[in-house]
Amino acid sequence: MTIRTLILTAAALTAFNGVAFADGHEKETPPPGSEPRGFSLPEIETYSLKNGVDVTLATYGRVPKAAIRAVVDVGNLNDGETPWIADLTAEMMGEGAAGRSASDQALAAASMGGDLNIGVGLDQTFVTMDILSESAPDAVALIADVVQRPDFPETEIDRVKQNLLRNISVGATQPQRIADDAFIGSMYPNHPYADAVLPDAEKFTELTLDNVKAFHAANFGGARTHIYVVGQFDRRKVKRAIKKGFRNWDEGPPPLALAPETPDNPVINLIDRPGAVQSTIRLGKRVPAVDNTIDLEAADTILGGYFSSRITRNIREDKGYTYSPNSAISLEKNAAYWRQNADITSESTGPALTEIIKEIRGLQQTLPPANELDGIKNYMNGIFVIRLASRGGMASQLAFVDLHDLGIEYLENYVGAVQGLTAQSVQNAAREHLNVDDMSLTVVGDLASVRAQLETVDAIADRLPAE
Amino acid sequence: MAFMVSLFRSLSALLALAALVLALGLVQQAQAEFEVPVSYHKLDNGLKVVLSEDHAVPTTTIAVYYGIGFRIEPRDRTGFAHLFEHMMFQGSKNLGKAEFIALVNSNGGVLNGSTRFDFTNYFEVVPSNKTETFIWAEADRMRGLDITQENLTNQQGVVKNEVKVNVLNQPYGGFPWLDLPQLANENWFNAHNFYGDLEDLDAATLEDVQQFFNDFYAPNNAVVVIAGDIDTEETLQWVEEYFGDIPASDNLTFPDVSEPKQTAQKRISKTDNLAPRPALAWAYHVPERGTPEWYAMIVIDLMLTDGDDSRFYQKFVQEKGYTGSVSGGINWPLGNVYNYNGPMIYSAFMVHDDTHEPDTILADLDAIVEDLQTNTVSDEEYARAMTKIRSQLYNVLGDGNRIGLVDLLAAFALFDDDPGRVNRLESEFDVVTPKLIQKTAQEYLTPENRSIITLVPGAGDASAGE
Repeated sequence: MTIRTLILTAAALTAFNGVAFADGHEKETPPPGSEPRGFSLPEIETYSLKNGVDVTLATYGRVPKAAIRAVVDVGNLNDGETPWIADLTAEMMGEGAAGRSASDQALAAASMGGDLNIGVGLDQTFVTMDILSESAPDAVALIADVVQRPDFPETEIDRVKQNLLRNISVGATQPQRIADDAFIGSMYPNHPYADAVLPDAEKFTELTLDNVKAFHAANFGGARTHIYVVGQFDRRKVKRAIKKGFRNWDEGPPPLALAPETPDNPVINLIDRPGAVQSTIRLGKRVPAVDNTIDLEAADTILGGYFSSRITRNIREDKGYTYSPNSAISLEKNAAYWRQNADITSESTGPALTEIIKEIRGLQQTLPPANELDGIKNYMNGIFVIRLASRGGMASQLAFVDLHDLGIEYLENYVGAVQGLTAQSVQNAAREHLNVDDMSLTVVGDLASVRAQLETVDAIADRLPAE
Repeated sequence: MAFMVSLFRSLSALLALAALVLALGLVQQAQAEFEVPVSYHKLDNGLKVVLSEDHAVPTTTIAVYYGIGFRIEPRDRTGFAHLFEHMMFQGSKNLGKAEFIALVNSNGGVLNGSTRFDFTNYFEVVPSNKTETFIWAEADRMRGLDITQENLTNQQGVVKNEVKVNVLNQPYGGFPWLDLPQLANENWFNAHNFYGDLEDLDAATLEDVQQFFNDFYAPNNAVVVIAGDIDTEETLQWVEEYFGDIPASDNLTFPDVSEPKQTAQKRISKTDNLAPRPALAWAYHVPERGTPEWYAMIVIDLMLTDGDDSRFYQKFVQEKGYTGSVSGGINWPLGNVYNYNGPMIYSAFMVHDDTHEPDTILADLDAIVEDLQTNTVSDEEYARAMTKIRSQLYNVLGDGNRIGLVDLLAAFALFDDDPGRVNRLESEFDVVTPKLIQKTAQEYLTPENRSIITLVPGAGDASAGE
């Protein structure tokens, strides 16, 4: 084990050198600051139990707390023909385990200084606690019970289903959720991911406790499980608790490999929300997952990925069309897509889309200037450290690296990779992966007023579905 | 409910820190094990300065908190304090529009600002070698704004879009966080729409902006907090160099924000045409900040509202199945128990199904409250509340990005002239006893002190999903 120190080499700040006022006097130049200082990754210990349970431990942070996460490779990916069976199973795992009721579990967790949280993503289920250091071994034992030995009480299934149905019902009235649902469907058609945002309520209603038990039995096991402990904790006691809690578990199946196919054609989805004062839009397309994507990450940052991005400066800070536009790369286990999101005042929907497309094409046509490139290098490196600065952030990044088989080198080499970006490599990524004509679009809004606006948007107008 | 606007995404969330800094306090063991360095100074112009040096992560969190919140804004200009917050990013003497934000981002930092009941804050997390750069930049905009009508018009558009996305185009938008203060309070300063009516936002002028700046944005109404990878002496010199000659205001005046005692329960119904299911919210006025009863109310909040072991969760979610979650707290969701300075409410909120009448749920609330008024709490329940306080405090004090820490230090400096309180909260909670909890419940958790809003769904049930 080594202590790894990353030096954040700041690119020269060139944007603010003495700008002349119209009346002739010079603006003051900001003081430049000093040499950048190093950031050290903590020592990271990794090992496996015989049944395939992986363990990662890192002592980190200034306070006596620990973040404990059991991350299991079971998510909506595994839903098959029954959308949200993974979510229902996870919720039911919180209803008691190893003979201890949900209430008793909640009391025990609170006594340790934190709640038991269970969540489901597209690829993974997360069973987590953030507790006081002295309780770390007890928290490991509680999580071990929840993951392996849920009671799945018959008395709770109807109530838990109602909670999820209420969530679906409310989600179906939220414009952002409606847009996400339609857009993920156009990115991952014919794949369980497509139903993960808003599953069909009627189909969900048919799920039974037997479905839950069968799903758990078929999908949860040692080979799919990785335990992370990050923070301050007694390493000997925690390792003993992990061994005791998890060693007798079956290995179970390996993670499911089910990469989504590439969609044949881009899709334009117009969803009517009569009277809506804003249009909620998603514009984007599939992009390569993980390998060599630092250039695409940089292109995303320039376009809409940070506050100073071109699209944000244009449609927010110049035009005032929207409040919080943003772009991002959504990264799944074996697939990814890029999209620009925005909630735009209805009457500005067409003009805003035109500007977004103009910015994407602008990056493809003209090399980004040196000061902008230096700025995003600094930003990407800075945000990298900010993400790792808390024990929860550190645990998330370690899990990210494992999900995508990147190895710890990814974290060690990130700063260097960013420094290697060039104007040409960033532009190439935009040209290769962000072709507007191949992009899908979802608009959730007042179509009576918005549709005509879309008919004026280049690259969209000729692809609009019939009314 | 996603009221949050993500911290590193956008300026000006009214709500940005709410999730980071939850109800917290402190108990015995905490201070003995972990103490935050606090170096407190006051410049000749009245500017308060708090420095907290730690070298865990090579970043610095720099924040300026001004003692002006959305309670206090002109009567015909609802939402103005928040609109003004946006204008602080639109240009100062040496940094033109967009340049402040670009300076932060291009140096590898993130930033935000937010408007709350009793302060407006501006902060950035930057690589620590750039600390001096941003002390200079914050001083530059405290010195004065340099903005145009075009900038103002632009940000009026942005803020109106913010209100649309968070309130007008959203089921349960503004419920109950904008609605409850308007119902529970009588004094206009506590009882108006803090986000603002769109017409009022449109009515704002450049003169209004300049007047507001002159009235409230002065060093003697502000605190600068700098926490992180700094050298305390060197950093204090920079603060003196860049902020020291900004003139103090000699006419700071604040209106009376006191609230008359409520004498009868208030209850209204609100129809939400975008919502598919009913919702219920209630609020109680809390005891005056700093009194023994106030500390007891913090402990009550932790026992009733905080976590899956809480009485609300156990009754409303686990036992009765009215809802999947109950949210709430003191100064929720716009802040925490420490970062306000005036009258305040303790709120709770749930979305439920039409199979349950609000009165049925409220009867259960009454039973929970009655138990607290009749019986003293058990040692175990009290101990769990204290453990929550300690665990949540560690989250705030130990987070590597230090945003919650800076918030606490700023609030204690602004409101109490005593940021060192952060290390003494322990003894403050000694006043809370099971008897005091019972007495506080008897005095404050009464129908006369309560406001209730039932939300009636107008959207029909869109439960068909896709």
